[in-house]
Amino acid sequence: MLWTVVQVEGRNLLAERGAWWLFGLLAAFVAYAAWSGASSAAAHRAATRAAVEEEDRKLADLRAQLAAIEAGGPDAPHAEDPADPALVGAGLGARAVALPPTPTASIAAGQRDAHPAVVRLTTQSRLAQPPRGDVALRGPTSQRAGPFDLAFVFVYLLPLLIIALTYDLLAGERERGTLALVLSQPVSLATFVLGKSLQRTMVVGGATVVLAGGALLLSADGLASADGAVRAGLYLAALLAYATFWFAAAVAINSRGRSSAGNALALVGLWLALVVALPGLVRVVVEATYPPPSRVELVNLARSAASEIEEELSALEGDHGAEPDESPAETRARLLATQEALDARVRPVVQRFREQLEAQQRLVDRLRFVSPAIAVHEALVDVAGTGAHRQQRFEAQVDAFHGTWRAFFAERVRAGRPLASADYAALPTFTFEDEPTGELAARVGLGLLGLLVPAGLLLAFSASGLRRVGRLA
Amino acid sequence: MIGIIARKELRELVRDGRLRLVAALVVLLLLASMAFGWRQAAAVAAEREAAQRTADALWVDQGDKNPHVAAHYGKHVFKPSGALAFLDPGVDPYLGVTLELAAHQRTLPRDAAAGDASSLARFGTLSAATVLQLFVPLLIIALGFGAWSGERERGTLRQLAATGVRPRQLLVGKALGVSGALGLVLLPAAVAAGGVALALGEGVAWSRLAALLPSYLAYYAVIVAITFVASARARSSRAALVALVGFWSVTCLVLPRLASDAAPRVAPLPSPDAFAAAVKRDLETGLPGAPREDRVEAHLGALLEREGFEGAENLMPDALLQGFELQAEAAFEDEVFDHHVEALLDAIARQERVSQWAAALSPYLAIRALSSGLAGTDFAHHRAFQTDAEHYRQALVRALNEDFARNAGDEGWRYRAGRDLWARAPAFEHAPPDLRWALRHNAVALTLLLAWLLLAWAAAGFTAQRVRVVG
Amino acid sequence: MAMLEAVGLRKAYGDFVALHGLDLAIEPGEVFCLLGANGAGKTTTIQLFLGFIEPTAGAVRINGLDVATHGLETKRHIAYIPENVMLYPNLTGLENLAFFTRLAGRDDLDDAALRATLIEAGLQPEAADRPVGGYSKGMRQKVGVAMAIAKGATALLLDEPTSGLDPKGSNEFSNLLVRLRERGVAILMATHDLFRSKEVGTRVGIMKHGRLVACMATDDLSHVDLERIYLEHMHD
Repeated sequence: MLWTVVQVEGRNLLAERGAWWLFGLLAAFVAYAAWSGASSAAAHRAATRAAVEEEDRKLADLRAQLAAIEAGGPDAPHAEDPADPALVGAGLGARAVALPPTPTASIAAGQRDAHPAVVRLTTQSRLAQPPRGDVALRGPTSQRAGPFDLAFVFVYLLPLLIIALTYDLLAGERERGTLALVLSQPVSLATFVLGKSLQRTMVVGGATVVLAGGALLLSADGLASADGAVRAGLYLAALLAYATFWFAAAVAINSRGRSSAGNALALVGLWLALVVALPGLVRVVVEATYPPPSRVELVNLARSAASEIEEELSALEGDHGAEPDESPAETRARLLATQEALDARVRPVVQRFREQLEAQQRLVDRLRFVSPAIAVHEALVDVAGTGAHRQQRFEAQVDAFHGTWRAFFAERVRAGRPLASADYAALPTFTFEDEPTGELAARVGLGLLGLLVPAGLLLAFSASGLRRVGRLA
Repeated sequence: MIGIIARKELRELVRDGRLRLVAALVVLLLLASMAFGWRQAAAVAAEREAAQRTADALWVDQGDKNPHVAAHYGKHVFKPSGALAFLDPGVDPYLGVTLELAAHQRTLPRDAAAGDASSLARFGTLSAATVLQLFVPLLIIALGFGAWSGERERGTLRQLAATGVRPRQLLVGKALGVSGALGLVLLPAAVAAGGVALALGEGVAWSRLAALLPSYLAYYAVIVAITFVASARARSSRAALVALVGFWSVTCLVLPRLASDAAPRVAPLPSPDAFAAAVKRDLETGLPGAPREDRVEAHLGALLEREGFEGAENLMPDALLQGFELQAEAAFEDEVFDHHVEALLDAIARQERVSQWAAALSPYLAIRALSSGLAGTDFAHHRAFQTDAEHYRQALVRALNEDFARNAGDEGWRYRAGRDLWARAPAFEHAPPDLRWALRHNAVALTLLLAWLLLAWAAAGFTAQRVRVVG
Repeated sequence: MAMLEAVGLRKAYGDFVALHGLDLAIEPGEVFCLLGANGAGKTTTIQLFLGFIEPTAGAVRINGLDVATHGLETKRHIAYIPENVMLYPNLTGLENLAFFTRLAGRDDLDDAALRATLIEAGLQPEAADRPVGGYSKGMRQKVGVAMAIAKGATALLLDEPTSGLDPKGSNEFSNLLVRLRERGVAILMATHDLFRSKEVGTRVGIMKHGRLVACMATDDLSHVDLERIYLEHMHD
């Protein structure tokens, strides 16, 4: 019985030219988003790799230079001495670190563009002097609109496709007059609606899996790992759960017995509320609850802290203010100490920034259940590794590594011990410890509940409506 | 006749309970987002003013030092937020606000708000502009999709046509009806916007606020006309609705993102590393065809000539010559900075123009550009701030170097200036450009919006003449 | 036992009473024609038999089963032909018939059998494979009859099935009903067509303001008598 409905529904859909257009359009959007996502993820990967390798090459050059001097070669100019730990640490050499992209990075650009791609670490204070105004690769209007990535296609456009296919699921039958004939047969309205929506869910679900899976296969980089497979699985699961939610919403609205135009308006209204308005409101709430401290005040704070040691700083910036009665070694040790002091002064404020942003994200984790669009978006950026959780993890690890990096040089500066070429081999290296896949899966899985539970509630709600046959026929 | 039709349309719309609910929600959302924008704008203004005062104090209280060392120390300036940012924050959140002005460097503004946003930032902000640009068109579609098709389905269009009413009268009447309903929604918003602007106090850009009103009305007129065309041509009301929602999602969702992807391909920007490397290289060697030594020499020569020391370098006090040399070097560096930074800003401006030209395909993009331009929150205004700040920086560095040249005397680098000199530097003032300037920078968007208006109404008039009376 | 039966059937919408305690029993092989002005309660009666609306009081039974409690079972026995048989326009006549017959639980019929049913219902053989979107009203009504035949319905509920048909189509439809009647199908037909009622009906009932005000066998009546009685009842 159910299968009969599914079959006829399939034939009806095949004959619908509009449906072919819609699927064609979705396929085109997905294909473009996959290409665009892959190319920007690849560009990002290449740019970070180049920057990291550039700094590594500089360090290798210094090491080779030092080895040559050790072998009896001519000395380097005073300001470029590869054996001077203060100079090398202060910027002659640097360690560039970057958040490594996940295999599934092409799914969602997330906040990738909002953070510097590469962080260069020296013995200078990192907290007091954030990167100078970074050149973004996109103009502000482009940043504002956001990229055309897979997350956009699925979060925004997939529900619209589902709405276009389902707004007249039942109302259309009633308006055409076929519903009365169907209901004069020994078939319950619930079975009929279930059959119809099942067919469409299968078609859309199948199309989503094929398109989304294909897009990922074409655009991903290194899916073969266990981590990559889990991410790909979570991605498809999130999309299917999201599609299920929208089908449930369409069935629920159809069960109220309004006209198809009324259904379409109600569904578009729901879409606008859940996908556009609520995320915006949640963002307002989140930012008002945990406002980050002011960046512009931080600028002044760092400056007034620095101004107390301005004399020392000016020595580094040029030759104009050198203190004549101090040995160069003493100056360097003191400059290093001032950088450390500067970090210590600014750290509480920066820490407050981090805490507020982490608190914001924790609140988002809770409030994502308010709207399925937020839930699925969070799931997608988490899977793509371009979300706030991973970024904050990276920040914390960079901070710790910066301490290690500086300590390496500080120890030698304070002891007045020059660098040997062998020391270069012992320079600390940075490896990003990614979140365990299990934790990621747990968080994303919880988010999927935020899609499936409302879907279940909506279906339960529609069951009551579908029992009152008369109003609908 | 038209009045009768308009009144009947309005009465029908106002009596629809569901439409009343939707309209009430839109009004609520509009007022809430405006209140939030107000809070935000007031907080930002207070914060930046306070920060600027602190930064100015830090400058004045920097203690006695050589003027050129003070030029190294430099000064921070903070970008004041756009005049009507509470209505339309535009691209402000994506632009830096802090600019460090010091010798030997021209930096780009940093500390953009977008850097500290949660992952929800991808959904955009819920500002009054969002509601006005994205939500209200959907409200218009909800009000008007059945304007013709509904009458045809109910059979009342036949009766209307039989009374001999002219199609154009019907069109204008219906448009007035929808506009009346829309006016009921927008009036509270307009009053609230005026109130907030008044409450925010000084610097109210009334002319800008006044220019926003017709811009939005033109945008809505475009949407009303398109809605009517779809309603008159579609097979049924539901087909009209589906087509209109499709148009909305393509023009308001898909096209902005496609334009966002196209812009960097049309006008690529250098990577941050490549940019820094190019500036560094040219600072060391000079711009192509203008070696560093030649340019510094030329600047120094011009300076000496102007000051009447031509050919008398050997007779000058050391500090004076050094001061001139510092200034000649700064002039050379400014050439390099100007070359690279202006090229970068030009490329960004080209990217912005891609978005404006994309308005040929989407009226939403036209109003988006125009609205943020009028609100003073677009890239053009940001660039004006940057240019002002750079002029200020060059003047500041020049004044300090000149003081060093003239007053150091025998003390040379040991010369110290103090508070008097620091306080003599004028405060940085950035007056936002006027309305005409803003309009000129959004001429493309403005023209395209007017083109949409003409085309859409021509199509509506054409369609009304030939509307099918029976389904 | 009566195939279609209404007992004390009452339907009220708030203060408005659409049906005041209707009693009706239609045996197999009987065609009962319900006459009456618009709004007399004819369509309400049929919708109550279909279970589309619920009675305020009383009961409707089909083949002895109460519609209120055995909604789905009762529908195995009935076929419904509304004023406009609306079908899926993108499917062919045959596909439409196959769909509805399968919904009715008859999945034993193959395409050949269904095609034969369509021809039996009077549809031109070549029309069976055309999309229904291009059918005339008469052709769609024939598919409706074919649905009843294929399902093996023992009771037929017709709501003004011939209104809007041309005289020839109307005549063909009446002949089909007669054939079904002869097979022992119980038929309840709401109609305005006095002439056809006399031709195909075994009994006619006249409804007015929700009451069955007259009920008579057609054998005892001439066309003229029927029209006179009808008009008498229509006077207030």
